Amino acid sequence: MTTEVRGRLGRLLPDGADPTAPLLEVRDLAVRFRTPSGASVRAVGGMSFRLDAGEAMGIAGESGCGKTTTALSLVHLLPGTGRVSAGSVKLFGIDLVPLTERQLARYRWREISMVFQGAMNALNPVQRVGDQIAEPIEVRLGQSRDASRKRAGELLELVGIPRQRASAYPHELSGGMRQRAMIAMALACDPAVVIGDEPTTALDVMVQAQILQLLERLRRELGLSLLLITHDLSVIAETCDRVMVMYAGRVAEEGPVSRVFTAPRHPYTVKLLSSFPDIRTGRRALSMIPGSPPDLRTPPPGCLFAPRCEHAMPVCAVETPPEINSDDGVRVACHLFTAGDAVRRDAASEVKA
Amino acid sequence: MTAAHAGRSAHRAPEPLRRAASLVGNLLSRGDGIVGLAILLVFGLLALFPDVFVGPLEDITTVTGMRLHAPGLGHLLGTDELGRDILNLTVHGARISMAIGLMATVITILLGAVIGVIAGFVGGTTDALLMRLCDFFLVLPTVVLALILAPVILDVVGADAELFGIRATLLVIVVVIGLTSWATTARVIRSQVLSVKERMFVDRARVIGAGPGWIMVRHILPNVVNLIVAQAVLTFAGAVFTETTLSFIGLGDSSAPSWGQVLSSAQEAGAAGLGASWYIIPPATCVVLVVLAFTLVGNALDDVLNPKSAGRR
Repeated sequence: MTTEVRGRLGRLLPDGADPTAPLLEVRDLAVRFRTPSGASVRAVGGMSFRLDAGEAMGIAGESGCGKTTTALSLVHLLPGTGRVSAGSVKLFGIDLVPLTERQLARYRWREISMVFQGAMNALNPVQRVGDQIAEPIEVRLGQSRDASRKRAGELLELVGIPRQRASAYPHELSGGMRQRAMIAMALACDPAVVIGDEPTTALDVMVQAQILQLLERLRRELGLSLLLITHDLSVIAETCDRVMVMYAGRVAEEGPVSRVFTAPRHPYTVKLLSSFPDIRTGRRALSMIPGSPPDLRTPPPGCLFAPRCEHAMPVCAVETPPEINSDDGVRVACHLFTAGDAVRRDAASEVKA
Repeated sequence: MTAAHAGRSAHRAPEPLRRAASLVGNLLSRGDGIVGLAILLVFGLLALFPDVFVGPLEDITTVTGMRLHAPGLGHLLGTDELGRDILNLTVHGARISMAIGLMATVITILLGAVIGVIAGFVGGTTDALLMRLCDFFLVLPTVVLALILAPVILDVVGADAELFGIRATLLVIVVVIGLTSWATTARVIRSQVLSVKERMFVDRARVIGAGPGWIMVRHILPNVVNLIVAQAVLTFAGAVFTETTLSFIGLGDSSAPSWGQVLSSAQEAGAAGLGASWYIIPPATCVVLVVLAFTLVGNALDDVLNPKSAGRR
């Protein structure tokens, strides 16, 4: 070991880490999938974002927009047909994209771990829950079976499950407890970043609220950074500091939750928000977005949302909109905001109307 | 508090022992488990200590009875054409039949499980090669293979050679049964592995950083254990039958009477034609009982090993 670098809570960072670099910085990430016919589909194109220590960011968007693909590509977890075709993923300033599987082992689960979608399927039905939580400790940190079991017991208590339940099989736990067990497993190696892939989908609202509270508490106590993937905007509103709205593999809008949810700029965000019922207003027909996301095998030129956008201008069908950063920390990729300030304000008020 | 205490004291016993004890306990809580285990226990004792029950194996020089005598006081199950006591022969036959059955099953299950899991999990060329190998062994006829292998093996090791106290002629039977039945087991297990490996917890294990070996042993194998048990039971039953068949056609060891061997000499002596049913029924009943017992235990194990059915019953 050359130099010891300690970061959050005095934990040891990997060799070559830059303590001044942001925790996670993704730049121009592009992911391509090979189709059986030999064609190549760009599922994610030119994504950039950063995640700071202790921060929670939500990734929102409709099904198939590349939320999970983006998260999986951070630590090379894409299925066999997919690969990162461009861009960089820097964790502590170290680029993970060019690393080999062997080199990545240091980061996978130890720095970036995951809470999987659908806990029942992600747990082995014939193995005791405690042993499964102990698995990453045994495999990753090379600890003895007894030591990892002990730690698994502590992790279970941390997520609010009595230690004795470690000897239960997955089917003996309730849906909420299984999801807690998955969270305990994600925390096993004390990671810096936890990716939650729809962690509350398929849970009823009461349990969902408990799980979200748990994640919130863990984030505070352990100084975790959360990357929460969900199509449920209320989950993001409740738990996240920032939100990134994705459309067809690109960032549509990104910024602090308070700003994006109260004053959305991108026409897609506006539509997405208004397609959710609001308990405070009276009954009304929810608006929906006409059409469906573009076929990424033959993406249209220009803005990918243009065909469904009410505010589409001639330029939208020709040019890909650049990402515009505004002073209040919101980033938006829409031609409505590319022109001068006056036009932007005009257009923005028009969008809201 | 008490639960925590019990948990701690239970940890003192080595874990495999603890699991085995609870497994037997679960088996004994089921009707079929008790019956199956009881029959196996009886035959196990007979096979281990035949001399205690019926004295040493009788041969032509130590016979006490008349030829083909019907069951009576001196000979509870009658005698054979040489005057040997049938009870004596049947009890001593348990050792050979069960030993052959067990050894053949161990070979079959080891080969079948290892090859099945590897072929299914690794896939690709490995899978294709292993499955072609399987195809080859699947089409081998047991009896013909035994007829060819028996003289070859005997020639190589010598007819009097012994392995673990078992004569080479019997080993031929073990090897033949093992070679001809592992392929079925491998195929059945591979098909289940193909489905298990697509489950999400396998991906999860891979993400966590588990290597292929770890995943196969810790995740795939436990999910196909019920199949392995079922296959083991079927194989054992089949092996006892095959041993009977092979001994019957004269490939057995005439100096070591297995049940098949006894049936074979009954046939040679024309027992059926002479109405000497006592010569045929005891060994045949034993074969059926042992196969039945294994099926019962296998069925019970299948349920007990499945954590989901533990609470049912």
